[in-house]
Amino acid sequence: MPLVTASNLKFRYATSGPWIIDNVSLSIDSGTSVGIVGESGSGKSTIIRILSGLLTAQEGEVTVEGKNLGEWSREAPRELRRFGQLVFQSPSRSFDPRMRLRRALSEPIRALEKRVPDAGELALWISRVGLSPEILDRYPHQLSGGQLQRVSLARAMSIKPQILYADEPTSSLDVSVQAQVLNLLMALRADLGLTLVLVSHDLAIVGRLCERVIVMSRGKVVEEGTTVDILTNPQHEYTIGLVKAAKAVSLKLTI
Amino acid sequence: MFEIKNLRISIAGRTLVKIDHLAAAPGERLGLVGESGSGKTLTVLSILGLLPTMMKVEGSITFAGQELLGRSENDLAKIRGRDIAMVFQDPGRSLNPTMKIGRQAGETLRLHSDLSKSEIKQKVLELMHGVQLQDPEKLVSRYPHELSGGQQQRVMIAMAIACKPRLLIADEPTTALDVTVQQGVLKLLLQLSQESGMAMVFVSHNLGVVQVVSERIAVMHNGEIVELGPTAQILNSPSAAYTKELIGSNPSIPDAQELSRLLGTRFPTGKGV
Repeated sequence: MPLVTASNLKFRYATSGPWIIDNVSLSIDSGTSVGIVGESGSGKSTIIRILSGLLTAQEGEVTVEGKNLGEWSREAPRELRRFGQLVFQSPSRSFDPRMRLRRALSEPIRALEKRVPDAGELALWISRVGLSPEILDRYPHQLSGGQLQRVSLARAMSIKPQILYADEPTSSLDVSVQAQVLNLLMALRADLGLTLVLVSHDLAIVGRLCERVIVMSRGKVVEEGTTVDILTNPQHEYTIGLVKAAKAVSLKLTI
Repeated sequence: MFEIKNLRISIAGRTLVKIDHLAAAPGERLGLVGESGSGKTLTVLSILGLLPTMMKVEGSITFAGQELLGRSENDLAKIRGRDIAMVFQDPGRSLNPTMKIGRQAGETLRLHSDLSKSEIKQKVLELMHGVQLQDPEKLVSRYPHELSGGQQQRVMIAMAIACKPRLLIADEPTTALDVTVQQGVLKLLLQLSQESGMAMVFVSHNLGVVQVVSERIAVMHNGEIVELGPTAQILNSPSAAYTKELIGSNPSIPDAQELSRLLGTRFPTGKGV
C-alpha cells in the first residue's frame, strides 16, 4: 500500500490567483526514495508542504497511511508531525537565532513526545550526524552552513519519523559539504528504513539518491517514472529539455 | 592580457590570498574553481580594485601592460565597464531596484561612449536582442523585480558587453539560475568570447559548468592556487589532492550503467530501478 497518496490536488496562495498546484495526483510507496524535480516556480516546494500538512490544498485529497490528512491533522496533529518531518533549504533560517542548539535539538521531542530528552540522547543524535556534542552549547550563527544542516537533519530524525521531506537540503551548501550531507542522508535513510521525498533542481543529486522521479512543470506533474527511465529515456517534451540541459553541464570525465 | 604576480591580499595581518602567478592571454577563457572561502572572488575583485579598503593588497596586477594596483579611483573607473567588465552571481542584487532596465542597461554606454541619447536607446535594444531577451522594447520600461532571474542575468551580461570589453570577469554567473536558463547563458558567454576575442575569467564551484566554458582551470584552496592547467588535464588527471577531492564532490548525472550499480547499495528496496 502506498504510504502517501495525493489525488487531484489544486492549490493557490491568493483566492483569485493562478493555481500553483494544478490537478496533481501522485503516490509514494513506503521505504522508497522519490525525487521531485522541476524549475523554479514549478510547485515542487509547495507540493511537499501540502503532503506534509503545512499547507492545505483547496481541492483534492491527501491520504497518509490510508488516513485523510486533513482529518488526521485536526484530530491528532502531534501524531502527524511525528509521522513526517521536513528539512528546509536554508539551515540558518530554520533555527531560532536566540536558542542554543541543545534546546533547538530537543524541541521536537519536548513538543511531540512531551518529555525532556537527556544529555545522552541528544549527544547520540549529534554524533550520529558526525558532529561533536560540544557544539550543543553554541548558537546557530556559530556553526557553518554544512554543520547547521547536519543539526537540522538530527533534529528532524530525533523523533524517528516514517517519512522525511527534504526541500533542496544542500543547494545552499558548498560542493564538498553537499557530498557529506547527502551521504549522511542516505546512511540515515538506510539505517532507519526511512521514506525520503527529495525536492531538488539538481538531476545529478536526484539521480544518485532516488529510485523514482516526479517531474513538475508549472504546477503539474508532467512525467513520473523510475530514475533510469527519466534520465535515460524521458518522454515528455519538458523532461527531455530538462535532462538535456542538465547533462550539458554535468561533469564528464574520461577516466 | 592580464597578469597577476606575487599577489597578497590580507586583513589585519592575516593573509587571505597568496598567488605567485596567474595570467590569461587575449581571448583565453580561464576557469577559477574552489570551495567557498577559497579566495576566488577576492582574487577577481582585486583585479578591478573593488576590494574593501580595509584589505591590504600587495604585488602586481597588470592589464594590457598597464599596472592596475595603486591606480586612482578615477583611473580605475575608466577601465571598469570599458576594458574590463564584470558579471556578478546574484543579478537581483546587482541591479538598481529603483532604475528601469533600459536606463540601467545604457549606463556603461553613457559613461564610456560619445553616443547620443537616441543612439544609446537603439544600442540597448540591439544588446538585449543579442543576449536573446524576448521583447526588449517592453522590458526596457520595466523594473528589475519585474524580470525573472534569467532575464536579469541576461541584462547584466548585456550591460557588461556593451562597450566590447577585452576581459570579462564572470563570478558564478549561472549559480542562481535554473538549469535550462543556465545552459542558454553559458552558450551566450561562449559565443561572445569566440566571436569578439574577449578573454574571460569564469569563477565557479561547479566543475561541470567550468568544463563547458574554460580552456584552462586554476584550482584555489585556502587562498592559494594549488593546481593550474588545461581543462581536460585538470579534470581527468589531477595531481593535487585537493583537486581530486573537489572532483569527487561534484556529482555528475549517473548513466544507465552507474544507475544499475546503485541498485542494491543505495536503493535497498529495489523498487523502481
